[in-house]
Amino acid sequence: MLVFRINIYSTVLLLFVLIFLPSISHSTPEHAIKRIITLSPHATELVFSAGAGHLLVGRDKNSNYPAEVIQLPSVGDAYLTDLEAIVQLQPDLIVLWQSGSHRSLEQQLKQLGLRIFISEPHNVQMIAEEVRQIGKMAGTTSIANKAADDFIWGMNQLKQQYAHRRKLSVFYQVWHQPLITLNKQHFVSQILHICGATNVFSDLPNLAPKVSLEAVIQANPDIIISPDNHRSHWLPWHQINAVKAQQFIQINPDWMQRPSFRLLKAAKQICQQIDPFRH
Amino acid sequence: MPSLFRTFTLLSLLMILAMTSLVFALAMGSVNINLTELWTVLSVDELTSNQSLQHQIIMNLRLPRAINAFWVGGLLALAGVLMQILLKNPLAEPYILGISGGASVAALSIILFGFASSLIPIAAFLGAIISTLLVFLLSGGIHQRSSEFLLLTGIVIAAGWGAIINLLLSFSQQQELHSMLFWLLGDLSAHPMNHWMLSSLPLLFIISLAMSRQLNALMYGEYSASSLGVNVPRVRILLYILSAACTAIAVSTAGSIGFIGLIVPHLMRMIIGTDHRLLIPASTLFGGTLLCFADTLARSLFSPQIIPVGVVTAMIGVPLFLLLLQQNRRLH
Repeated sequence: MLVFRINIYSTVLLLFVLIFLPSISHSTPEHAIKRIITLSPHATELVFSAGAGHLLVGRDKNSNYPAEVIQLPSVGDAYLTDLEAIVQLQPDLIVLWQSGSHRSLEQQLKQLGLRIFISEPHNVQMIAEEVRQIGKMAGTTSIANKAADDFIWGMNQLKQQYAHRRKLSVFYQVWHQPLITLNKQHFVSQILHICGATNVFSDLPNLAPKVSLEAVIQANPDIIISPDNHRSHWLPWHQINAVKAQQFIQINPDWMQRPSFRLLKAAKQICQQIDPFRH
Repeated sequence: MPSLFRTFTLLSLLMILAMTSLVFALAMGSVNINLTELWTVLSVDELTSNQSLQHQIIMNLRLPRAINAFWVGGLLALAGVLMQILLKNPLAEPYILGISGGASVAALSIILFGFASSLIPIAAFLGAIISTLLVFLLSGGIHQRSSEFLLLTGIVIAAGWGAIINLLLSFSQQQELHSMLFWLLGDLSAHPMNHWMLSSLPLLFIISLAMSRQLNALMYGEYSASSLGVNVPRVRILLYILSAACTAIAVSTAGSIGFIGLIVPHLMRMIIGTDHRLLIPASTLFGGTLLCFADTLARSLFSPQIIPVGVVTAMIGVPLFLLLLQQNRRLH
């Protein structure tokens, strides 16, 4: 009788184990990420900031910072992605920039059973938060949190120092032909705000609106900031305050237009170069 | 045969429309300039004026752009009229034989490889000429074969250029892509026409007008035309050269602005009939007027944002065209 009962108990136990073991193994804490592929230059920088750079096994073709990533294999970019190359690298995490990639890419990667982290930071806080998240997944929490804290601290320092000073208006020129600028939803506007400046086209509805030369003349910015040196283009328009006073700032687009920790370098440069223009 | 009175009335009406479009183009924009200020700017002698903001905006921004729009529109509409006769096909338009494809490949290469943007018009013009010669030689050279042969050759060459354009676009970086797509959609602001290009429209227009009797004859078929004493092979070669020249100049100034070259000739045929002595001046005038209006709206409708001019030409042209098509159907 006892033997029988033990038999029943053990059978029930065995059944339990058989039924629940797979789900138990599923719910155990995830193994730390070992192999990462990034599909945009800013994502590559975020992974390095999170202290997980050594886990990177592949990158998009435009990733160029830090310099050592150039030796890693490229899997194309977010529009022309080499899915076979991705599968071959056996990643357990792909960092994807959704708004800068092909619509179907996320779906395709999911169908291949790949884990995806979507990086879409719209402001300074989100950049820091994403680095923390990547650090958590890669098991490098302490490095990631320290880096994120430093980044936020640096931005706050600049804000305390410059944000309250006399407001100057800025035309941020992303591209010259056609003239393309950025609105307030873009983190470039946040950087300008930190430095005590305002974006003249912050209220336009599109993130990266094309504007006419006449509209810039009408807006009459105090400063023109651009990744390229297009000073000579503007010289005929001496009615614009920025041209009249020769207030141009040239900024490295990799610092200013990538949502990564190098944005702090851009912010420092902009804050420091704007300040003398207040006279 | 149109009566002298009707011809005169129609052409004066189109003239008035053209003038209105130019004034509209000079008066509208992000900066508010009213008609009195506009008149002051236009009437003041350039040397004595003190380069006010209004003066500078009108003379350096709006006027060159309005002239670009008017000339390009006129050239495209003229090219459309000539192409439709040459190819005996109502779907013919200036870009159908791959002229704009060759120009686009050359212009996009200049942008992609980072050469000075002032080289774009020259490169585009050379690209257009190369494509024109290629199609001309492949379709029989001086002994041109049938219109169908020319049309097929041109369409296939155009498709080839299209593939190269896609290849160039896929190689481009995010930043250059803006310039490339903007050029492909048509951009009237970048390259003001020089005197050479400006004088080309009147010249090409007068030659075309001088051929209008022969073109009228050609409409009844090549056989009837040659029996009426028209040297058909020579006229066809001349037609090809004229339409290619119009297209090449238009494309190298403003990229490929669609729609004008297809729809304006049809629109004018519905209104004034098929006599080329009237059709050629009417189409040229209306093509310029339409593009000038469209470009003004493109840069002022959602000011300070700008939209592609091709979108606006379609927004005006499609309803207008459909309306006239319906009315014509009722008459028939």
